[in-house]
Amino acid sequence: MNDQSLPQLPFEDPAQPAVAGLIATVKLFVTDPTTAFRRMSLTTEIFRPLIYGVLLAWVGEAVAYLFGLIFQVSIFGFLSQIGGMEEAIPAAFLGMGLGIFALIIAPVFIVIGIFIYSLIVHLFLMMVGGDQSGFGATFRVLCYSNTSQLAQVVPIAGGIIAFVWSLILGIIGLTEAHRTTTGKAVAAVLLPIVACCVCMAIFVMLAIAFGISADSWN
Amino acid sequence: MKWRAVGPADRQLAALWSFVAVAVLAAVPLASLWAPQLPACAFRAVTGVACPSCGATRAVEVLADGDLLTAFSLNPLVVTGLLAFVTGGLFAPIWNRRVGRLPDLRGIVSIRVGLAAALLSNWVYVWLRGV
Repeated sequence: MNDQSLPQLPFEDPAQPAVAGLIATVKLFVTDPTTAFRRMSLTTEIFRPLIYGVLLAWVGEAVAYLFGLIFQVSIFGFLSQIGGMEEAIPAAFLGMGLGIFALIIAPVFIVIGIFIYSLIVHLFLMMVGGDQSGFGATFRVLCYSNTSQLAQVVPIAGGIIAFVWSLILGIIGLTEAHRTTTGKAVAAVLLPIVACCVCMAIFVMLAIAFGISADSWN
Repeated sequence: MKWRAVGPADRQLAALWSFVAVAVLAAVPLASLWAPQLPACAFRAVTGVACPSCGATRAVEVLADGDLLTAFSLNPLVVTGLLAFVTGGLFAPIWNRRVGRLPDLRGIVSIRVGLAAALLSNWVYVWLRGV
């Protein structure tokens, strides 16, 4: 545990039922992220934080997909009233199928994304001299930062809110897990976006903002 | 440099690294499929200056064709990082089992300076070369 005087996170406690532990952990990260990151273990198995991160990111993507679908159905319905949309129907169903397929395989890409993003952030943390607890701590922090994906329930702006919230959670988490300064944590989280992965960051933001099925009706 | 014993979490991270490395390795030959989906560099469009990762997508596309030299010339840091990442991922579990120790890289000034120098020199190279 990061702070030995505090109880461990409910989701990391094997004695807690999984679903109850998950809900309690989500609540804790939403209401008091500083305490949540202090309670986060730095030594137990990494698969629990990973499962948490993948689960919440997947729920966020599913919600974004659903909103995208509702929006597209509305547009499609409106356009079909005008007429001449009959030939677009097979393409629309194909797009919907591809979207659902993307959702099914999304957990694999989420795992890859969390790992590579953690590595990039950790390299920048090393560069600014903030790495006190190793790569595992950074990885755990960024897994739990996916709590922010719950913001996807906000229509239209959910993706942007989730993105900003994840940066804030990342900064709080790195500060606590690595016992480093906020300035170094800010640098580690923002430098990859500002200096290194500008294009990718913007692409990811747009992808989140418009949902994974943005072009599914094309 | 200090060394420490490999723990259970290190083994799990190594296994995960292997999985991701294999996935990245599998994605490289498909670069021609996913690369066109990526947008042009927004940083370059706004500032007129190449960002440190400019040329990375083209480098991966060229790498998929087996042209390592051209890929390296497009973005040396990204190609070196990609190769190091994949190689490290494939060997991490073997290292943990055979060696059983990991270097403790925390607080080593030369690593901090080296990372910063690599990033900056790559950016200058990409900028000057007009990738």
